[in-house]
Amino acid sequence: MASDNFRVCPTTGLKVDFSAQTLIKLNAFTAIVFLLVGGLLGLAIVLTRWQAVHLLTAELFYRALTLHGIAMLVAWIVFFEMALLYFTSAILLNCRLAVPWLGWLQYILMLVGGAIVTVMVLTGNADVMFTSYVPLKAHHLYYLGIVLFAVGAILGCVTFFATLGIAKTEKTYQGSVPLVTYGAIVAAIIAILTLAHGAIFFIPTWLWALGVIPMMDPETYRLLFWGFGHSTQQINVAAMIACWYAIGTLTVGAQPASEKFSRSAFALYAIFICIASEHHLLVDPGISAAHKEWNTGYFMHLAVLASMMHAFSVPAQIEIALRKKGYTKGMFEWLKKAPWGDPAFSSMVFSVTGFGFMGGITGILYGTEQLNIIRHNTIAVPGHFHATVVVGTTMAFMGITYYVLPLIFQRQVAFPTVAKLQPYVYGVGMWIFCIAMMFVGGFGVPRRHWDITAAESLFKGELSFGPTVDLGFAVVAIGGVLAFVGGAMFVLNAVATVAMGKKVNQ
Amino acid sequence: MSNLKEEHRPHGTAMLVWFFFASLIVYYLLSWKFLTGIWKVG
Repeated sequence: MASDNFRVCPTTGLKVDFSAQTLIKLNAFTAIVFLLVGGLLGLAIVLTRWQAVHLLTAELFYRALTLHGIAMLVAWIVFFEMALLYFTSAILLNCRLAVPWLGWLQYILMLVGGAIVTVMVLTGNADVMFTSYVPLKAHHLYYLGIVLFAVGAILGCVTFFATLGIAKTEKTYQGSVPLVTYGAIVAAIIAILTLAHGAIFFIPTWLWALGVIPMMDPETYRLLFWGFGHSTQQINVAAMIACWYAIGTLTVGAQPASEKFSRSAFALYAIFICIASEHHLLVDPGISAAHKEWNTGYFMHLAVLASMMHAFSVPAQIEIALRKKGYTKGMFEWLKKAPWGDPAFSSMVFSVTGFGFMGGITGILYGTEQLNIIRHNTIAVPGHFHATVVVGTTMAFMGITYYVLPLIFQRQVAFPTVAKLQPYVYGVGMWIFCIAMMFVGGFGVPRRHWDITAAESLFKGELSFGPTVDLGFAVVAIGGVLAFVGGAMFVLNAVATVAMGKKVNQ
Repeated sequence: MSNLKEEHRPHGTAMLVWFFFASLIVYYLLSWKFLTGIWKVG
């Protein structure tokens, strides 16, 4: 059934607004293209850090590392989040998308901004890494590209909130918004705070690159950058957790164990998580010890508490749903009988456990001031955030994609067997990769380093981290290559589904 | 959750919660021992 502006989904019974559907498709597809770009660069980077292969030259290594960070941490994730915002507002609330042209403007600005940044990095005009710490200076168009991307993302949030307003005015839902939409609201609130931080320092940095402003203060830049750089990852966390709840409902029919509990946890994010970003500055001399203690000893743990609340309420709701289906024998029959062959479910389990046990525990440790002084800028830190952002966020987004393909793109997954295997290949690869990176980091091996043997430096002394580190890097590479294969399985399956997947019955 | 039947209560997840905290404590202690050598100081 369809009218001029919407169709009714035969599976869920939800009204699907055509403008929202098109924007979800465009944003999700573009996100996956950036995932492919970032993944290829990631493979080149891991094969360079593995000293036995040492694939790229120094110049290409830093260029690849810069674009890998932007493509994965910003482009793939924020484009996908835009798709999620439209899905959780217009689709889940059964209403029309507010101001569709604003949604189009969001997409165009983000696409143009992302393209400018990509070209600037690839042409060697912005070898400044993801953080672009001043006084490293990129071409002014690089900063302009980021500003355009950020403005586009803000417009996406505005469209989202306007759609919520329409849904409320037109009474398209009963009671309060669903928990998944509530999570998306928190993600959008954090997004606006984050993007405001981005504007506060990226616009002056752009003017500095143009020569209008004579200098930028590095400490102020770092403070504001992490208000943007880490908070961006908190948008991911809120969106990822909204995906966990959605996947729980879609795969086993789970309902929140306690709405109040889950909503309180989301509220903790909105209040504390942006402040907690300052754990990046624990070794900075320009900030007082008391300030650091407050942010990482108190506020950060209130945000961590929220993650722990979700990480236990999501498995609890799944356990309750499966027990209600009759799997009540012993402590873990429900776990044995869970739909492990459903790629959305297995992705979500990898996401929850990887984010909680691997990313969460190490995050608490590395965010502790006394331990941070030892771990700071070692390769253990990327080990930690690959556990949160890749195993956590990316796997949650991959999982929900297996439902977005039939529900929004209206195509059956092209290769179901590949889809079943994909989360295991990717998840196991990333677990090996992250644990090995954190292990190697324990020996003091620096992050973002092209050649830890310093073979081409002027310094001719003996510099070696020893065979344990060499072995550790080989394990990092094995995990990385396995994860790349899993990522490629996902991207190719998604693209093949969109291009030639069998149409789902209307 | 309080109105759930006994057989529907999430006992497995409760076990997971304990396992998480045990992992956290063990890893914290190991980190202090091997990273900071704090036990040697005393």
